Amino acid sequence: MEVPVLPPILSRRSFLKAGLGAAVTAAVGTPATVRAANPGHDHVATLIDIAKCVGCGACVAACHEANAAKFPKPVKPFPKMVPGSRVPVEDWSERRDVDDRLTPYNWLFIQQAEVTVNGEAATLNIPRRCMHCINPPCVKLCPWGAARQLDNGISRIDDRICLGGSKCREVCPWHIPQRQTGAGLYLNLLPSMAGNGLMTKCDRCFRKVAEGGLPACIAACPEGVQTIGPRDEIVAKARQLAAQTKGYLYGIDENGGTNTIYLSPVPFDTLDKAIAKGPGQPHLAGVKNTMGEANNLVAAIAIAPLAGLAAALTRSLTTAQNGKDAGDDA
Amino acid sequence: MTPKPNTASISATGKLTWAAAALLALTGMMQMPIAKRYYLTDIPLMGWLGDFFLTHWLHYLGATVFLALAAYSAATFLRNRDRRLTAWGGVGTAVAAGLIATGGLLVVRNLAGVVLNPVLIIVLNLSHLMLSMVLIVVALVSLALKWPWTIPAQPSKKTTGDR
Repeated sequence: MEVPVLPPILSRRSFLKAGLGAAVTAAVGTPATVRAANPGHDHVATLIDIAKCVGCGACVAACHEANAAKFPKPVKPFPKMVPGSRVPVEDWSERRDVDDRLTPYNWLFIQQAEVTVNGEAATLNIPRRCMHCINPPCVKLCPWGAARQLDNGISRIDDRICLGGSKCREVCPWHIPQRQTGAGLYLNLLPSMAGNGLMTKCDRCFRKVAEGGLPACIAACPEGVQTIGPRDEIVAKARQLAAQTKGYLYGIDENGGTNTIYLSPVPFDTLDKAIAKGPGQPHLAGVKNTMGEANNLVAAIAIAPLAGLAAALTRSLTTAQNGKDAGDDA
Repeated sequence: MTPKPNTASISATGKLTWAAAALLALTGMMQMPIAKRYYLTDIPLMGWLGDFFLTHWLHYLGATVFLALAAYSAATFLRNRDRRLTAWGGVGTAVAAGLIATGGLLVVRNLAGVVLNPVLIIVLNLSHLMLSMVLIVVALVSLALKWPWTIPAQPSKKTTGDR
């Protein structure tokens, strides 16, 4: 069987040059923001002073009202999923008033912890939502690019693209995103075989923030629990307050750093033991840098082609040297 | 003279390269949430397929090995000049190059502090997936039908110039 070869006009050199040139041009010419040296320092962050929260729920109600237009609008009956046992229906459309956990219709809730503060029993109220990580795995690991991160660090899920695979929920160390079956793009693709709805979570009222306004939860709070600002300033303020009040901080370094910093009068492992945890009710335990382990291999990836080239060159020189030595003997 | 399908066995470097590519294909596919859904994690000793961070790390490891071997093979091929790329080899090389380019940009995307254009991210994800499926087909055809990617170069015919 004849095996066609490339015509000689397409030389190896010109092919490689053109390919490399195209790749570099495409990468450099595409809009991108790279602030790898000090990631997150220009992000928008929020300080949440737990001791100030009285659990009134004004923030939860404000979040509902501000985001109602973005909530999923499921179509029933839901498509039959294959395999049914591994793709459970997650339907919160008839339970939109549930506010003691995160749901597709409740992006912020108040978590309560019965603890001892200064020797006295107390109930601490902790507003919980997406942490808006500096390097969010929900954004970086979505296979379709349905979640995106804005330049100010806010992460959000695009409901026009999300298929509801829920990988984002699984890779999120706090399992924040929640799924509503029966809504979204998957209905128009392979509804029984791929996807299962829409994932939703706090998007930090990104449009209000872009216009210079406050997220609804902050604007509604009568106690001034939350402070929003540039991350460097918020972290500095958090550390200062923690030092002044002998308090504890959570969110500065968790998962490689987040833009939600909690200040607590008691240690966070105490809080973590005291809160109810489960689906839609995130923990307050330590979190390692989940994206960091793979990113530690990036240097190896970059060096690998050079190592291959060096090995080829070494072999080539060795072969040439052996050839020369053989020739000398002739 | 008509070149024939390659009947020689694959070199050690070639086998390692294909093994690295197989690891990349498997761990790459597992980036989609299909392992648990389609009972792959129920296969004995295959529960790790459902661990997204592990398969992500293994994908990076596979990329490291693959890039080193691919660069070695490419440099040896270019240096020795005793073989030529077949059209089929050109297809395979182009697909691999596309995977390397899109994969490289996705690695950059995953770094802290990097925010790429969202449309670009979707294009990179979809093209990386499509190219990987094409490469799987190319690999199966190459191995099953023994279609070579390179063949020995024809020695050039020289005229002596004697009168």
